[in-house]
Amino acid sequence: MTTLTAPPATDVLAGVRAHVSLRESISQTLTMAWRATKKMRRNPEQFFDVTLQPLLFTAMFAYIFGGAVSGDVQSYLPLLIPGILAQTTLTTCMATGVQLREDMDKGVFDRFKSLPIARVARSPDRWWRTCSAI
Amino acid sequence: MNVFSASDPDRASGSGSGSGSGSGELAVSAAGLVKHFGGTRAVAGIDLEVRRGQIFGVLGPNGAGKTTMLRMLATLLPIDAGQAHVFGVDVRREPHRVRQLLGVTGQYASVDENLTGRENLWLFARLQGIPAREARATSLRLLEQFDLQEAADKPISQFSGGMRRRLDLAASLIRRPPLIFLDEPTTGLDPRTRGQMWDTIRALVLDGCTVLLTTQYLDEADQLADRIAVIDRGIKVAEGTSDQLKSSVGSSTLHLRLAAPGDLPDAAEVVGRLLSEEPVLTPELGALNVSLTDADQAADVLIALRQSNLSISSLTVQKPTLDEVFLALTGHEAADRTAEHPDPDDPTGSSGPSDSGDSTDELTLEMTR
Repeated sequence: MTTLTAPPATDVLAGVRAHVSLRESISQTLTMAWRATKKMRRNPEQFFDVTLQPLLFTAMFAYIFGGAVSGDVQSYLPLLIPGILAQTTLTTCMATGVQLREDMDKGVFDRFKSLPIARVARSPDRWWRTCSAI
Repeated sequence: MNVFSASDPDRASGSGSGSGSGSGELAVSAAGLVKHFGGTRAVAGIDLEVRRGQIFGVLGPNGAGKTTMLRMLATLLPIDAGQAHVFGVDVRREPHRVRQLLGVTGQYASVDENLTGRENLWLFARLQGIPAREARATSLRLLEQFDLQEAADKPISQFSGGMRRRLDLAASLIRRPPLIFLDEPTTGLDPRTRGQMWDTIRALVLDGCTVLLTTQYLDEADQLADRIAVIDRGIKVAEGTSDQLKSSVGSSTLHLRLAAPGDLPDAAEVVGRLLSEEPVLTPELGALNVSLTDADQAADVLIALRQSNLSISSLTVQKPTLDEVFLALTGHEAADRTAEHPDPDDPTGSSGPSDSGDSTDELTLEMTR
């Protein structure tokens, strides 16, 4: 019952800061990255885009369809590898967009927005994924 | 569900209203809030003042602008026009500081479906800068408080609606914010879970929190809120305590039944003279109904009847329910219909809409006072 009388506003505002420190942003970003890895481990099929698919495509275009390329496969590879990298990155970006939209629809993103966290930290799993893809 | 040890509803509601009238400090103050979505005005200039330690209910039909208003105050939507302060901190200028004072629980459970209950709480605790070990302890404590231990390690997708809501509320309480926004906290819950949610909300206020909740359930506002604002089509149509709203709209009604039906004309004359209002008679039953501006007038009526030697068999004084208030304030259909087909024979019917109009004026006066 003693807790009933609410403290004055100065008490409420005591620990409130105007900005997020760099250290906090890093810690928040890492926490969000933890969330992203958890998610990836629960839905491993999404991970195939960035792990298996590039390998598969490289093997396919080098060995199976390689014979159709004029010249030899060795000189074709420097062109093929960056192409596949670019494709993988694009695929990941797509998945990233879809996930972000899903977060917004489900309401989790509102929760992140309503928390006093750094703006960069709100969607680090996106660029974490993109970075890992590259 | 035993939250914050002392969750006695009676004590909670009693003390809640008591503290509301006490300190003059405001937890939330908003003036002329406006939000446009394209051509429509979702919120068209709402003023709001929520005292500390209060449960403030925002009541309105679907699409009235309740959620939009709440989202603006919670920094989730930019404010188009107007001013808003949370504990004196400007919402538009310093959203980051406001976010540290708030816990928001949205209409749809805002937790991560891919994580378990425990992981969700840990995640939100870590994001708010609580060290890892302490975050684990906090999430454990909250899971216990909200009766979610056995589901702690299940993914949220397997949670029931009530469990999600509870987890969502738990996630809002990690840092024990002094102000909590609840957007329709009991929509879609069964009566038992709703009762639990109410107890939780009361316990929060006991703990020193201020709660701003939106609801479309009248009994919820009636039960919980110390003060209610009725919002319709983006504007505030009335504000007051539940009792004020009730007494302002259809003032209480006196139902009187006479021992001898033949006395009815005499009784009607006595009552009419006393209250200067024509009672509605039901001669078959020997009964009459008359609206009272003040419930105490019932006593005057009784004395007058006794003095003129008219005996009665029963008497009831009824207060209007919050439902009637809600319909009177937001029921455009009802008002429109009466305007189209005015019924001169029925004094109560024609006086209905004008009553509600008067009451709104009365309430606005009261607000400015």
